[in-house]
Amino acid sequence: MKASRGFQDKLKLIVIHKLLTLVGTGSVLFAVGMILAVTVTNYKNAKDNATVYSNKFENVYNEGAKFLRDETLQDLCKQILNYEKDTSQLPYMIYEFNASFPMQVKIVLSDKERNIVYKSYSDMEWDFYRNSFNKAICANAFLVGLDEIYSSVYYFNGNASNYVMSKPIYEYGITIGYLNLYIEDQWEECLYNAEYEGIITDYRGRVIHSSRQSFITGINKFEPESNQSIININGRRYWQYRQELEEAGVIIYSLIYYPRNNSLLFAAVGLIFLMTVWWFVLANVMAESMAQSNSAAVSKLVKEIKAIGEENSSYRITMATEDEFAEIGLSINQMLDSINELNLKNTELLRINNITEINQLTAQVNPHFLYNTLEIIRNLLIFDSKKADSLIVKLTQILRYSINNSRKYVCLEEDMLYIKDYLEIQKSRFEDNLHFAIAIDEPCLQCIVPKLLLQPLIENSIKYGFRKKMKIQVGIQGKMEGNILYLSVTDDGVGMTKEEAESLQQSIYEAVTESEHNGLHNIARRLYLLYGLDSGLDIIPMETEGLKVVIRINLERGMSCTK
Amino acid sequence: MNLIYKYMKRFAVILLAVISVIYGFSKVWRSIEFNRSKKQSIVIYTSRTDNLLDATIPLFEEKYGVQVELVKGELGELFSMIREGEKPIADIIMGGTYSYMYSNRELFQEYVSVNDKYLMENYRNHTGLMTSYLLEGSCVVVNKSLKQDIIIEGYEDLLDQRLQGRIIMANPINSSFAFSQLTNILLAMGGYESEAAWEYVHQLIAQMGEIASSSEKVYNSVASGNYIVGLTYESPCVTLVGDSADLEIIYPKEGTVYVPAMAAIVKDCSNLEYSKHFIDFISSKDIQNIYANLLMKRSVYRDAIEGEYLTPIQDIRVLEEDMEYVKHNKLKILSDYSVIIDRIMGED
Repeated sequence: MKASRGFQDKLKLIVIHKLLTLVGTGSVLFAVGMILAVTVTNYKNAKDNATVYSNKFENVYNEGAKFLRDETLQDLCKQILNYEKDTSQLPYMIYEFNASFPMQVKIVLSDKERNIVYKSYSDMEWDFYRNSFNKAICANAFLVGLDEIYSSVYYFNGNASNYVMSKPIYEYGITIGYLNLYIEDQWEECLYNAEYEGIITDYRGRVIHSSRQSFITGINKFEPESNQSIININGRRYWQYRQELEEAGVIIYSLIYYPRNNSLLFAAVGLIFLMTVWWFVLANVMAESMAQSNSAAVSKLVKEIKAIGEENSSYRITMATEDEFAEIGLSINQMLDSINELNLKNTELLRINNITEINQLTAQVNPHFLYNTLEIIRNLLIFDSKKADSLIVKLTQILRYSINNSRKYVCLEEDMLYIKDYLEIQKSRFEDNLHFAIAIDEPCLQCIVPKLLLQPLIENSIKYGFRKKMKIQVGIQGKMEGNILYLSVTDDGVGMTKEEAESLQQSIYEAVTESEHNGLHNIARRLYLLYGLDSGLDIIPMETEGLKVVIRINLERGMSCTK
Repeated sequence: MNLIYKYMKRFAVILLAVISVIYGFSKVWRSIEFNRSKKQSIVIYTSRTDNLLDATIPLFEEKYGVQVELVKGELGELFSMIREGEKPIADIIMGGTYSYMYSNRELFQEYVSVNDKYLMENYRNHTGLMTSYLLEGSCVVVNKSLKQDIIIEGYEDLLDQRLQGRIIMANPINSSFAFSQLTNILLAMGGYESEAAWEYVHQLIAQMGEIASSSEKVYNSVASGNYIVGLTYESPCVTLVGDSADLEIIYPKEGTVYVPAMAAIVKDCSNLEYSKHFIDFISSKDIQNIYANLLMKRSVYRDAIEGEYLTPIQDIRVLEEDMEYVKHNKLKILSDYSVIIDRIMGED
């Protein structure tokens, strides 16, 4: 059982490995998905919020810029600065503008020395600080391009800041004054539809508007410590999105409160951990049971095969697993069957070969044949010593050929020489009572056949022929039809009935037979075992008297003599 | 175990890959730089906590197109930061009174404001190092509702039995304003080394309800009614009065000392040009008018326009502080003060 235990462990390892990879990728994907979901949501919210802010701001900026660039206003300011008109028309224009503008604005008109010419602030509101600041703004506005607007942020002492837009007034390309627009912080009301926190600053970090007072650090400043998406403000975590409005010179920070939710993080990590543990346990159990069920079949197979080896070779595997292992069992059974068959075949071939050899040897040293031949030679020595001499030569050749046991297969041509010698000897014995005719087609002679193939047939014909008749004829024919070599021995002896022939035909292919036609049986079995099913022996009774025995050899698997 | 190790390794590799992808992604994201104008910047260390900075810094930034980075803290702490070269490196120190600044004079860069000639003679830059930007005067602040019929016109009146435990002042050891108050008292009550003056200090401290750690607490406690009398400095109290707090400012009939608050450029600063601009700026007429008129502080400028809540200086008995004496004897005065504290604690 050690082998199958190893297989089971291996199987389990594979399953665990695969499942753990699955669990690992699953956990990673889950975590990544969670992070992505949060990131995308925050990013989108922050961006949408920034869009609300920037749309509003751009709107305000554009309106303000349009007002400052308005030619009527510019002309009026020029006239005022040139003392051509007094300031009485200015308030009207400002009121008109204020009516359509979403926020309260104040106007300050300064001359080129930056002294106040007109201001819509009251004297109470207009203090030294505002005055100095306005001068500083004008000084900076002096430096901007011809149609440009300088923007700044006014702030003092805890009050809400003003976004200031300053437009220098030119006459013949020379600055003659400054028109400053102070936009008061009423963004809160304008931005009522912004869902999240937001801060508007200029490029120097001066806060124009902040949805929360606590975002402001230092003196009206907001400068996040980093450009990263997540920033800390007063210990609170925010997701940050920045948008820049280049023309207005402002940066919009959209902030989504994004607390480091430890309990959520713990829950997520815990969940992943528990899932991993659960999957791991599950994987283990599954791997165990899968490996067990699979290895059970393997164990059975191993046991069955062992039974074959130890008990007997006729034992066949029985598998009731109805899977590939059952098929393996079946295949092994089939393999065992064919091995067995082959084994039997080989054993029989060996046995028949032995018998044939013995028979052949026996045939050559057949005492009757030898005795008869020697008797003939003795008689001839008296009457015809020349013929006796030729007979002795033939007998010697026969003896040499048959005793030479080194070759089992020969060319048909060679075998026929032997047959001819044999028939010559027989003819000298029976004289005119025995006639033989040999008609072998030329191609047949080169075929390789078992040695002494035809001899038993001829011997039979002569042996049985002379039992009932005084005169017999033996014919030996050979022809090729495709790959099949037909050799037939025909005699006109007693023959046999059709029924006898059929029963004989059947019996000669049986593995074991006890009939008197042992010779035929041996030839037939030998041909079958050597050349396969389509080779063999056919016994054909002649219509008149006599019998025809046909040897059929499929030479596809055979060889031919090479000269 | 081998498998788990191998698996962990694989897991770690996957995790690392994912993290690096996210990190790289976010890097690209963040690399979208904003063209925030890279202006000049200067670093100002200051011990000021009042609205003076609000009126100074944004205007300075606008006028000179410069970014100001403020580092706030106690003066002593700021000086040690400068000595240790902590970042951000200071360009300007703006804070305490003459004696405090003078004892750290080796840290300052020589510079005399272009406006120095317009300042009052006494408060010009005689050392070549430190520029006065306003005057801090000690005063007594009284909660009008709580004092009822107690007459408080001078230091002597503070020894009234009814004020026992109802007076607050700050600790001269950590507050430069409280130290100024102490020297003011000594000078007004007989002199820095007068026995009578020190005896008065002893009696006054025995009257104290609290010695606070900061000046801010002093005037706020009086304004909120926790104490009847506070010994503190003028400008925050004037602001509180301006904001209609229930307070009255008493300039003691024994005399009031004004000491200049000073700023200086720190030696080896990183932006000398703008530091000089800053010193010029705080001593300019414009800013001095803002301080005097808007913030109700005593200007050092000769003809600054003072705010309406400031009692005209002519109506106050002004004593001249012996700055030379005080700057050389600061430690002695503080140790004498500590001895009195120890004695009073012992009596308890």
